[in-house]
Amino acid sequence: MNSLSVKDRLDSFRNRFAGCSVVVFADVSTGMVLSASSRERTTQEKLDDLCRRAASRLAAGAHAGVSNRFFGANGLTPSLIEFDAAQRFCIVRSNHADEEALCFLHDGPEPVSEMLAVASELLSDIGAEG
Amino acid sequence: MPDGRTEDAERLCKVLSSLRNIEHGFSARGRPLAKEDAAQRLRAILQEIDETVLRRHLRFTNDRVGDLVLDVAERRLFGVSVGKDVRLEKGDGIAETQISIDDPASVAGVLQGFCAEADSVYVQTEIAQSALPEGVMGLSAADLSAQLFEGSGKAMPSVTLETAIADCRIFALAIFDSDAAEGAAIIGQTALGMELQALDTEHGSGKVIDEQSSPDHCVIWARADAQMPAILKVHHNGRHLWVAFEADQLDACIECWSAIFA
Repeated sequence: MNSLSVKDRLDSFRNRFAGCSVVVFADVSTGMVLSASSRERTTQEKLDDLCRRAASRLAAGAHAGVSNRFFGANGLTPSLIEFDAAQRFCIVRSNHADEEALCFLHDGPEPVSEMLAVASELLSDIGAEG
Repeated sequence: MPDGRTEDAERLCKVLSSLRNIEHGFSARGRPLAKEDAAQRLRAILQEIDETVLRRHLRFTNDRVGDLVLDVAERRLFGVSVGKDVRLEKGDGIAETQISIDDPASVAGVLQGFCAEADSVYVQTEIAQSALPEGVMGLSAADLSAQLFEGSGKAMPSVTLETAIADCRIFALAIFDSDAAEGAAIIGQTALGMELQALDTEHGSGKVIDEQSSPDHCVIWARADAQMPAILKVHHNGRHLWVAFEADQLDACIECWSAIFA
């Protein structure tokens, strides 16, 4: 039986994708960091900022508009990828618990589609064990 | 259902009307490309390369130095010729003054020299008849930009917003551009485009920005495991547009639109 902790799973995710600088397992309904893994030493404040940033994106009108218009009929919530010149900020929602999400920052060459798929599997594994 | 023929007629009217008002300063020498300094002239030439898809000879003329003729197709440079009144379409299409593009540094040097010497530059495009050399990859504007601006911190964006829109059309299902040259425009599937237009009406001006986000950024909503399009919203220089695309084109979409922030 697989007995990896959430932290172990996040470390594994970050090690698999070298361009991932930080990954957070979060409760986006409260903006609370549940677990995290980062490439370099970081502070709780920075992790909290990342969580708040995710919560604000999911609370934005555009997110609700797109979700309702294109994804709502299937009862699905889309992943969100925000990117600019410097990096990509991704939010992947859990299928098991709507308030749970994986948020990560990425500045490497790995395809984001693969990262989203692995993140979704990771959330499913956590949900199945929880 | 919208009447496509009426829409086409209205669009054509707008295009013709806007053409009447454009003041490009065209002359017998072509379209002026005059910029204030050599670096700006270089960027303008690279932009011309980046915006040329169909095979063309781009002829840059000026009063002080000889012509510069670039053989361009698919946004890549396949030949460079310099000299007074250079003609490329002679015989087999090989001009005496043609410069090898095997060495990007030397090509960059030629462009740099031309822009340093020239002041008022004009550009004309000519349809190229000869076949492209086989097995030659050519040089992109980004390749040349790396040679020209490396280390200066002034590298030009790989693509402009208009170029990204053109590239995006390869995989986009629909695009809604509220600030297109001819006014708000839907490209691709009309019904999907109207959905994007409705989104723009509801959420167009609301920007998702905080201290961790650049004012210029993109947001994508996607699910790979569902049969529904992914949605992209682009914020760039105060302009915003929406794109719907197949979710399996996510990485292509990110690559395409990341280039405008380079």
